[in-house]
Amino acid sequence: MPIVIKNLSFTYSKGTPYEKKALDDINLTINEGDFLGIIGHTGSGKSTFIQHINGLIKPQEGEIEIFDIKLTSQKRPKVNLKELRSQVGMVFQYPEYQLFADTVEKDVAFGPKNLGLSNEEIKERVKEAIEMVGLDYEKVKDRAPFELSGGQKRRVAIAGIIAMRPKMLILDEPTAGLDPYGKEQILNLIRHLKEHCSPTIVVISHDIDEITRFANRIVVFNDSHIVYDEPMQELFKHSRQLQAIGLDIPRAVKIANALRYKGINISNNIVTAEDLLKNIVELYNKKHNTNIDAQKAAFDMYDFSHKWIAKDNKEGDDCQNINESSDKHIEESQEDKIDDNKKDNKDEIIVNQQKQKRDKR
Amino acid sequence: MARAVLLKDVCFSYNANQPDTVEAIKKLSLEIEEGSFVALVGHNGSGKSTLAKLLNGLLLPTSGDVRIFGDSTMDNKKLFDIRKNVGMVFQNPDNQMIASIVEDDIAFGPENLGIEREEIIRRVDWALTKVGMLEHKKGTPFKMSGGQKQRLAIAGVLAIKPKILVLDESTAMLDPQGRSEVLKVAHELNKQEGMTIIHITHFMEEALGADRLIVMNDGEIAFDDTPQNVFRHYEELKNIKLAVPWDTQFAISLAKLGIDTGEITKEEDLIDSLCRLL
Amino acid sequence: MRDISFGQYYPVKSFIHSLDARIKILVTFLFMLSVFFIVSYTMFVFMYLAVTIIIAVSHVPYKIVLKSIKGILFLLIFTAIINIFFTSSGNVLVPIKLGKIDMSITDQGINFAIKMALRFTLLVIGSSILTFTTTPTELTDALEYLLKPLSYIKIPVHDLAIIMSIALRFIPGLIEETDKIMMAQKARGADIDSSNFFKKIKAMLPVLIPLFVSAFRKADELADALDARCYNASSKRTKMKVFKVRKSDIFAFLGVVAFVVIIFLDKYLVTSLAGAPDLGGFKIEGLDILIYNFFKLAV
Repeated sequence: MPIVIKNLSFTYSKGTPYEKKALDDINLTINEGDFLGIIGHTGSGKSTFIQHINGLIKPQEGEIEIFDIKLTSQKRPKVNLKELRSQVGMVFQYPEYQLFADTVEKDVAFGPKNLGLSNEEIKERVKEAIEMVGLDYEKVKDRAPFELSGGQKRRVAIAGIIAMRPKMLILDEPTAGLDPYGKEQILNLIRHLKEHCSPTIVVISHDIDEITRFANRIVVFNDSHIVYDEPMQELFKHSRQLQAIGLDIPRAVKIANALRYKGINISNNIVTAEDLLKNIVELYNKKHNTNIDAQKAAFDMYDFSHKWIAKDNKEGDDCQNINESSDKHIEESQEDKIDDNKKDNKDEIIVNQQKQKRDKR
Repeated sequence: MARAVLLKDVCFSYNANQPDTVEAIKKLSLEIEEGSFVALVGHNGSGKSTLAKLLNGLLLPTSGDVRIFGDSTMDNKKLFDIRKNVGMVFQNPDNQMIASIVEDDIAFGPENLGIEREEIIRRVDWALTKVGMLEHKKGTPFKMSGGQKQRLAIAGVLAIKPKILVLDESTAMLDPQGRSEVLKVAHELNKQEGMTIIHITHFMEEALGADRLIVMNDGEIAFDDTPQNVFRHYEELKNIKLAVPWDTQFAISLAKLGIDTGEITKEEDLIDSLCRLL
Repeated sequence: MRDISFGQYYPVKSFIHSLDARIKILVTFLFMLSVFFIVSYTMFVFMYLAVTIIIAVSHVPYKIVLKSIKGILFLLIFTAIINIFFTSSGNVLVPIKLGKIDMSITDQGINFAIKMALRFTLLVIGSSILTFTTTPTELTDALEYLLKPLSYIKIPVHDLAIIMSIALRFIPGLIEETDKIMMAQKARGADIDSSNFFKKIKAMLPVLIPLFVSAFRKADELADALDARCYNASSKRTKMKVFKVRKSDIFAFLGVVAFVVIIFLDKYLVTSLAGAPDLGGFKIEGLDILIYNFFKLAV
């Protein structure tokens, strides 16, 4: 079990009029392979919580065990924080604001360098990380980070964390401030990282529709407590309670609830748009005696083409269209290859290489 | 209706006449009527924020003319009249407040205009009431949520009593709750005070309640129509890195499978339509 | 979100908090000047009693006020040592000679050292009470008002006040930002907590560069926001808040003036009337003389 948190409490500015309880008796176990979503209001304690997992805040009460490293409230802990931080990669909010080196390559190399690795190893890791986040290593390595577009900067910042080869990745509001397309790219990247880079991922997000796109387990923070910790399919059975504490529920759940309220026999297990689409298709088939294949149901922001709205649109490869338009654009002059099939093949090769290396060790 | 904004053949380049010049606005013409609610949407770098800064003379056009109620931003003598008419709220709520106490900050604008004390006090109360923050009058912004801070930023601009309110990506850094708070305030100002609203965003959903949706791409206007009509072009929107609202997209996904819900822009429509189908 | 106290301001309601900031600045200034004229231990006892009562009235916990003295502890000890070793007048208690330098400890030296320490502590407590009970905004506004005469000699007092107010407004944000960036770089294995000075300097670069970038970005946005809110639109700027001196302010002001008068009376009048006793270089002054004489008579 990689991470066990027991009775963790934390208070800011203890003993002053600004005193504020951020965490109150938190117990949580994060398992290897978890794709964990954390939701909650601003100030509900979730950010303080993840800073604990990375050893950035020392526990005031309680203890945390992370990959056999124990953090307690002891005054002088004999903990190798560097080792801990290399195992738990942390991507903060607006991570592009931390870029400081004059080239992308140097910036991504900062983490591995701090780990005291050899130059060859560093170079290899940097290349791997930059390619992992969908950027062209040769094209971007010598460019200054500030020349890149917002979305690209963010990916460089994420590469800086990946280059430390963490066993677990924590991302705090990874899509904040990006436009829909940039968001979509980061979401795809996170899914990609889960498969190819870090087996355990924790994501904090305000946007519940975003979380339900990938999480398999959701933890809800409210008022410095964990109020729910459930598999994603189960959580939204508490829709009403979640809304009562002012949290959003996924759109699909909202619509399913509304339809159920109107007397339609909609399933109880709906979380994502795909779930809802499939369920609607089934009900539609039953009522209209049609035979539409529910498995074909897909809800993808950048993959839609249908007749009744697309009047004068040529059919074609959507991915290609996106890449073409991005190439045209001034800021995003670099190719965005995250969706590209070729890229996936390349990544597979990289991942295989990575596996071989790990085996050797 | 009076013409609030007029842009004629406006071009704007950053670093004009230099080798690294970037053309952000390309011969753009546009008219906005007083009292309308206009959503201006485009992906990052489409030129929408540049356009906003051209509206109150923070940037001046490289060529062409920008007129606010007939006054050109190129006319130096009119600049402060224009700024009085065009209130502008920016992206980061933390970088717009000048004072540490709410009421002092709201008073900053009218104080600059040399308005007399009693009137300033009236305006501060009015502006804070309009954004629903009157109870925080004596408070400090440090512990407030993003939505609250951004509403204060709006109040700070309202105290100048502008006729046009420009929200320059003012919702981009907010959580969903903050976003809806700000939008609600904008719509109320439009309805109750007849204020012209220009809401710049990259979220199509936020254009739903607008009278008019202008889509920018590459420094040009790609679409300019009612939101419903623009959403029909979802394929082209996708190509310029924009996405239609969730409910519209859900209907499209269904249509792809052969289930026709009809045209959908709002959640209620989708639910009604699904009720009829199922 | 870390410990960001808003200046030193301690947010409670009290009589002291509600006083006019201009009066508080003036009074503190007067008080700090007069502290140097306190000569007798009797007056020190009075002053410390008065300060203790003022702190009680201000509802600021004693613990927090004492914390502010901790900051100048080094200075206190340093001046005390200088006074003890380098005062040559008075009766020698411990003779110390380093070559030609006389570093003997005398009773007068110890007397000086104690009085100096008492004065410094009073100074710090006095200014702390001001900053604990007055918000930075009030302080800037009050300073702008008090310095207004300077604008007649073309010093841009208003612009300076705006700069100060903006600085106060943005410092907590920048501290927060520094904290965030530091955390982020620590998460990438940066050695910021290293005790090695040179290592620390080197490790600060990845913090300082993003911090500067962020500060410039903030400044840029702020400049736009200032422009959008018609900064410099009119040469006749008005003020929403006007200072009004109330009875309580006058009362507080007169109270401090009374103290100052007593201090001066103690130093000059009492000393000259009572006549300092000859104790071989060890000086006692003010009311202390009366007490000394009283005990002498009693004995």
